[in-house]
Order: sequence, then structure tokens, then C-alpha cells
Amino acid sequence: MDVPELEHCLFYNWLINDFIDLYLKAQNICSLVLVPSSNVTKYDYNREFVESHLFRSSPLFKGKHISLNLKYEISVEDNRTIHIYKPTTDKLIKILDQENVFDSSTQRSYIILIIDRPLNSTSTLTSPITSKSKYTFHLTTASYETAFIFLDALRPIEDLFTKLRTSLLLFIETYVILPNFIDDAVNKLNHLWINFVNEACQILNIDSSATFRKSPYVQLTTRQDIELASEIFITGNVYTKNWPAVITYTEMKDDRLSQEILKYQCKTAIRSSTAEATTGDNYTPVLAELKKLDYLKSSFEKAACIRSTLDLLLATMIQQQQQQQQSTENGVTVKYTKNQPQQPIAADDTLTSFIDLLTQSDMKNIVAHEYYTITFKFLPLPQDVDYAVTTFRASIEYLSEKKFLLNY
Amino acid sequence: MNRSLSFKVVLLGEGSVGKASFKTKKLTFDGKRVELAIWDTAGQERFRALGPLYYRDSNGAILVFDITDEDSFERVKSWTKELRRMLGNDCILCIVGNKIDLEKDRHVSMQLAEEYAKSVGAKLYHTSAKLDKGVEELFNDLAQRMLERSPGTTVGGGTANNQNRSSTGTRGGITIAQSATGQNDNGRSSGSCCS
Repeated sequence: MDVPELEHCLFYNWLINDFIDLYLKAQNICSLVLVPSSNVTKYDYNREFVESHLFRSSPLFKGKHISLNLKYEISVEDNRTIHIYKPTTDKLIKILDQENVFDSSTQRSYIILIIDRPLNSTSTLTSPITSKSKYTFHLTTASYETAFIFLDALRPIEDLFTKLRTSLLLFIETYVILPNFIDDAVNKLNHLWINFVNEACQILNIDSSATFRKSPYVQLTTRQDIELASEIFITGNVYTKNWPAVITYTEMKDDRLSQEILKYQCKTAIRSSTAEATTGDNYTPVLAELKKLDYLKSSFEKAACIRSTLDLLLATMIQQQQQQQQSTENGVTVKYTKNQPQQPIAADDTLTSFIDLLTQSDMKNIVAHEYYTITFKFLPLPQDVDYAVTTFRASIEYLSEKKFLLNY
Repeated sequence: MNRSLSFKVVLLGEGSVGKASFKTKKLTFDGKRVELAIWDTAGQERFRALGPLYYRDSNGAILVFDITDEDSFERVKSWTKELRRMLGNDCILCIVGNKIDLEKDRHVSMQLAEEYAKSVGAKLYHTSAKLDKGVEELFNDLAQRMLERSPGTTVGGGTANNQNRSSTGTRGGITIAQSATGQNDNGRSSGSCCS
């Protein structure tokens, strides 16, 4: 299940915008702030509802928490569920995410828990969680298709969206992209994007205060939703037009990279007679993930794919680390317990493995993917995605600049 | 009140000190939510030329040396020079003497480290990652210093982002119009990290 972002939770926005005194109180005295991610309606917009989700430690029982309005008494079970003691119920509330907060002014810490539904919800734990709103655009599921669906669902901007599609069609049919002038094409698309975002936000009245928004569109949709969805839609829509020019532009660099990869493979093979240390079946799913780059249309999707590749790579490295921890002595395998501290993977190891991964990928357009990802985007990438893309770029640079030929 | 600021912090130190590749840390200062995106960089000499890719637009840097290893302190000096050259004085530097649990084996004197940190406009911290000593204080102090340094909320280059994904929307000299407040509210974070 997707974990909603804190800022996308209606309850959290009420708390920080409309019930500021309670928010300050929470920072000063509370131990827990429960933020329901769904099933919150306009009928819940009242002080009592908000107070019911702000908790301070119980003065009587260790591990229990009491709501500010004394209506609820709860405990957190295994960091996964919330057990409600008062009022008596067998209902369990599921914890979706946790954020530890440290307040510098009070030198206090408290915890924000994103929960699946409000404490007063009548639904049971087994009932399905309410579906994601079609009026918000989620980073985790962002794709060309979801971007289209999201923008298409915003009825008030129907005409604007049609106009955008017409402009993109014109771009595809009439614009001539020269490989050495790709930036001009990017600027033209960027201009279309800016106009679309500004006009859409104006029509949807998105920048006004949340409390005065009337339609569900502007209650849930943020400017950032429009920005990201439209970036993905625009760059994805004209991908078939831009991609050939990118390939032409990066052809020489890609050829050079292929040659350097061959040299790297030779050097690696010489250095260690078996190159198996970094190859093998373990990397097959990681390579498969990386190769998805060939089929993704928008810059953001490609960047997200690089991020998921890095995630898979790290997971594989951790798995290998665990396997190595299982030492065999006198024929007896000693298995470490689950409590064995996990060594974090350092950037040196991550980068080395990513370089190895690229050399095993057999992909022909690695530099083209890099260039497209960093050029055809109008928004800064989220930091975690940016880190992964930077690791991808660093790996390419390491190979292209023949750094591996130097002896350190 | 509801602003979430994201700062990029690069972590420089040798590969074996137990750093994670990327992680985020969330703090609250005076009601402002602050997210530190901590970028570990490859410390090995062979990766040195790749550093600038990672340093760009950093708001802060944590340079770690081992108090029992003089060479590691020399490397911190070299990184400091490079960071100052790449990022100027906007980037807040923290020089960290790690492994204070091995005080008896100290090879880098506290006075020397203190004087050097002062000379480059950095602040010196003492930590023991092993005993989890001084680490929280380091991050809290760094976040507070970055917050003080950035009254505005523009992106990167020594100022704060409005969450991870801010909407400067600038490219080719065209600037996207901002909301009435001049910022995007309801920014969102990546929500997870890869380590």
C-alpha cells in the first residue's frame, strides 16, 4: 500500500493551518500525533476531532497515551498497530508511517504516526483502505499513464488540457529537432509546461487557503501535483520525437563508453581471475530493472527507474553481506541472529557496484538515457532520486574518463 | 508554520566508517519542519574526481576524520579546500573528529583540529559513531545553522528547498509564477530512503 505524504493528509493540513494553538500544544506537551490518512471528511473539521488525535503520555500507565480531550487512551503495538483501550473496543488502527520530530526550541521530541483512518472510524481493520483520490498525484506511482489519468480527471481544466495536447501534437508534426539544438526543444516544451501549470492553478484556484476551497479538486490537488503530472505528460507525450535526436547527439559518447566498458571488463578479469564477485544471478533482477530505462518515456520515470535500480542493488548487496556473515567453522554453519547489527552500505561500495552493473548491462544507449534524464525535466528531482541519478552519472563518468585505468 | 525545508548535506569520510549511502533525517525547529537529505560521497582516492557531481548545491557538509589517524585529518583539509572552491562560503562546514571512544590512541590533537576548523570557518564536533555519542547534537546544530543562514527558501546553492521537490521551474531564463505566498505549500518528501 502506498504511504501518503504527510502534507497530503487533510488532517495534518487542518492541524498546522487552522488549529495552530493545538499544533503548538502538540509540540510542547504531546508524545504522539496521529494523522489519519483517509476517511477524514469535512464533518470532522472540528476542534474535538483534532484533539482526539493528539496524545500525551499517560501519567498512570507506562506505554499508554491519552488524548488531549481525554476521550481516548491508546498504546502502540509493535510499531504497527494502535490499540484503543478507551473507549473500549477491539478495533485496531494500522500505522502506515512514522516520523520522529525534534523541536529545537523546546528540546523535545515527539512522534507523528500516519494511521490508516481516524480513531472514531467505524470500519474494521480488515476492510479495505479507501482508494487513493484521483485528485492527487502520487510520486510513488507517477508514470505517463497516471499523469494522463490525473490531468484528464480534472474537469475544470478540460479545455486547457485539450489545448495542451493540441500544442504537443503541433510540436510533434511541425517542430524540427536538430541534435545540436536540443536545448531549444526543451525550452519550447518548458514554456508550454509553465503556461499550462499557471493557467491550471489559476482555474482551480489552487493557491488560495485550503479552508475556502469548495470543490474536491482544489481541496486535494496541489500545485506540485499539477507540476509533476504535467511535466511527465509533456515529456512523455513527445518522447518519440525527442529520443532519436538524443540518441544521435550522444552516439559518439555512447560508443566510447562501450569501448571503455570492454577495457574495464578486461581489467577486472585480469585483476581477479574470477569476475564472479560482482556478477552472478543475484544481479539479474537489478539488471532487468535498469533495462526498463529503454521503455520509459518521461525524464521523471527514467530517474525513478534509476532510483529503484539503486534500491534493488543495495538490497542485493545487503543480502550478500548477510550471506557472508554466515561463517562456517568445522563444518558447522554459524547463523547470526536477526539482532546482528546491519552494516550500512557506504557510497564507495554503492558506486563500485553500480559501475559493475553498468558494465554488465549490455545497454547501448546509457549516455543517451543519462542525457535525456537530466535535460528533459523542468522540476528538481526529489533528493533520494537525485542521489540515485548522481550515482548513475558518476558511474558513467568513471568509465568514460577511464578512471579505472589509474592505479591507486 | 507549515513550511517544510529540505537541506542537502554531503558527508565526506572514508568508506569504512559506517556511513549509509543516502538517508534523510527530519527535525523540527521552532515549528518549522526541516529535512536533511544526507548524501554520502565515495571517499576512495579513485573516485575523487567524481566528488563535484555529489557536492553541487549542497547546503552543508560533514567532513569526518578519525582522531587516531593523522592521514584522515589531512584528507579533511583537502576536501575542505575543494568544497570552498566548489561551493564558496555559502556551504556550512562541520569538521567531525570521530572515534572519541579511542581517546587514548588520539593522533590528531584537539587544539590542532580546533584551530584548523576555525581558520576555515568551520565548526569542530567530537563524536563516537560506535557509542552513538555526539551524533544527534551534530545534526541538530548543523540544521539550526543552515536554517539561520537561509532566511529565504530558494533552491539549493546554500539556501533551502521547499521540501524535496520544490518548484522553481526555472529553465532558460523563464520563471514559473509562484503561488500567492511566493512558495509552494504542501510540499512533499520522498518518504523513504535507500538505505
